[in-house]
Amino acid sequence: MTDAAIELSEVVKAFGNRIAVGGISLRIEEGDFAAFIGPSGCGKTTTLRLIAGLERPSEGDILCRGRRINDDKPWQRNLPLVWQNFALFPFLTVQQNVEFGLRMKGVDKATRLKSVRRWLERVGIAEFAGRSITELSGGQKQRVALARSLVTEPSILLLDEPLGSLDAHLRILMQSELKALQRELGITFIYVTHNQSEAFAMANKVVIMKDGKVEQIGSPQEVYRSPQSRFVAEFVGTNNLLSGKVVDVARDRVKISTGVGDFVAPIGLRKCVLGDPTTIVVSADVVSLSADEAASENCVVGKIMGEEFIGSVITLFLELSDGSVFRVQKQQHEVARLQAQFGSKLNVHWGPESTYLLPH
Amino acid sequence: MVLAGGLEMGERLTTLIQRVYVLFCLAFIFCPIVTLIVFSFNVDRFPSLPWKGFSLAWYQALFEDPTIIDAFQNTLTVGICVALVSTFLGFTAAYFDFRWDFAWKRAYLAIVILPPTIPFLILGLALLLFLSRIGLGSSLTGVFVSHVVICTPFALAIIRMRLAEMDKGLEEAAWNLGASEWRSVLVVILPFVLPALVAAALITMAVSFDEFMIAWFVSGLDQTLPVKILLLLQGQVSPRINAIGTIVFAVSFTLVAIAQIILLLTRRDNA
Repeated sequence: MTDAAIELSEVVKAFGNRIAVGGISLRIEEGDFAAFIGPSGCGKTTTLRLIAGLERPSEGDILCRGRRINDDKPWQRNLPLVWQNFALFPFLTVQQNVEFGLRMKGVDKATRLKSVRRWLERVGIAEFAGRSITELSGGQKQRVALARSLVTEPSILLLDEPLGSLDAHLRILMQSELKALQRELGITFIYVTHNQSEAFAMANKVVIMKDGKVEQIGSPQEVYRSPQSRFVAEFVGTNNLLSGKVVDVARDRVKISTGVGDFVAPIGLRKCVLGDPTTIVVSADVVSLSADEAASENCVVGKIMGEEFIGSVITLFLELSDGSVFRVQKQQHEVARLQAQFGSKLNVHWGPESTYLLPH
Repeated sequence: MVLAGGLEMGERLTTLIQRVYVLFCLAFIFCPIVTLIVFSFNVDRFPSLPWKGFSLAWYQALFEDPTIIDAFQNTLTVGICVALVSTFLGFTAAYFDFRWDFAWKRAYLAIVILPPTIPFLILGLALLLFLSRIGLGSSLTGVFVSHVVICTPFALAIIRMRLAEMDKGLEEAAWNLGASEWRSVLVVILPFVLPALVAAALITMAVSFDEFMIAWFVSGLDQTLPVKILLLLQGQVSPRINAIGTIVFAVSFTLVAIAQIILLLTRRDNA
């Protein structure tokens, strides 16, 4: 097996009594765009800092291309980091900021200048070369930070919520630019964000973390459609989890009895035994709605108690018979057709193939 | 009178009285200094009115007295050395405070800023006793050491204030881009605090330049200017005192004013 760009082996980081990273092992291959997502405090930023050398692991090894770099100081690793608040040097001009890495390497002035010009053009701010960074907007500062970290031609780039300080419109723009940049340069990106859609839009490998541990690693499709744990199912996308007990096992189907009804789901790769506690995951966007209460194979009845409007998609919050909340995502025009109102009951049904069981 | 109108008049009156009061206070403080400056240019030997005529004779007399020139040189030498050393020590203490956290940090800082809070009369005596034991009593070097002790806290305060404005991430960014710890102090910390370093140097020089009490205790035959001034005052009444006073005031004022302007300007253009 070839060496991974970055490999973490049983890495633990504790700050006093608090365990920020509790034993992580993973591989990030060359050319990956790996995104770390998870709730606040899950340890994703600490992991990035460990890779950059700004923190020392309490236990475990960090390897870069097969070489153990635990003892390398941050300035000995060529793993530039793009910071959320940019961390640009206020007493230097744009040009001087960007050339910093090369200056530290001892590159002569003429070569530095050429490199800086090339990268400033590449990120689209060549005309700001001589400006003071206090004159720049957030988006422009972000580009300077990007150029500054790329000027030493690293093969691995670390990014800590780099788009966090930008407004929504600019974020979307920068997302596609970053993705294109990564593809064009062919380098490895290790990206930390708390924004799911950002991670899914750009990454080919998503790492979901919780409480200092990795919950699941996979492509965006895998993670979205096949969450391996309850946490991932609830964290990613908009899923409804129906828990109950197995009451019937057929060749490829399983029937579960829950507090709000009985449901059938594909057995997948699970080994199910009668009486097993199990959970079915029903994505909010795979269900159909109807106003009449005709029963079908898999359906629940819920009372509308809230809605969330996000552009063309509406999320409806339905209260089921046992008081739990069921979420439905539909296009706006479909919901309008139902002419439903708060408090009215809706029939939610789905085909069993659209759902799956959580591995326990 | 209408209520709204009445309030306005009352407010205006209060503001007026406050302003006049502040003006009186300032006048009270500055009158002696202004008198000093005015009469240093007066031809008449005695500081009395009417004004007898403009003259630079007393300034000339200063430059002709070698003891005064010596004292001035001593004060200047000590001032410059104190400025350099205090600023250096103040910077290292401020950086230490910025970079590391340790259990006894608060106690450490409290001790470092102690000297200016001790009455200089007591401090002067204590310093003389201590310095005499190590052979520095009654010497200019002793004055230098004593002034470093009282001026470093000023430098620390000024530099610390500036350093607190710096984003902690800047240092990490420098390390991340290839600068070692020492190198990043040189290429990131120092350029950022440079205005504060200059201001600290100017203010510590002003403090040392003006300082009388400790210098009087600790200096021996090589006197600093403030000490010399006291001796002159005790000796004879001469408008040369006015001239010296004016020069000392001008020097201190200029140093502190430049320092303040630097600090104000850098405050405003912070990234």
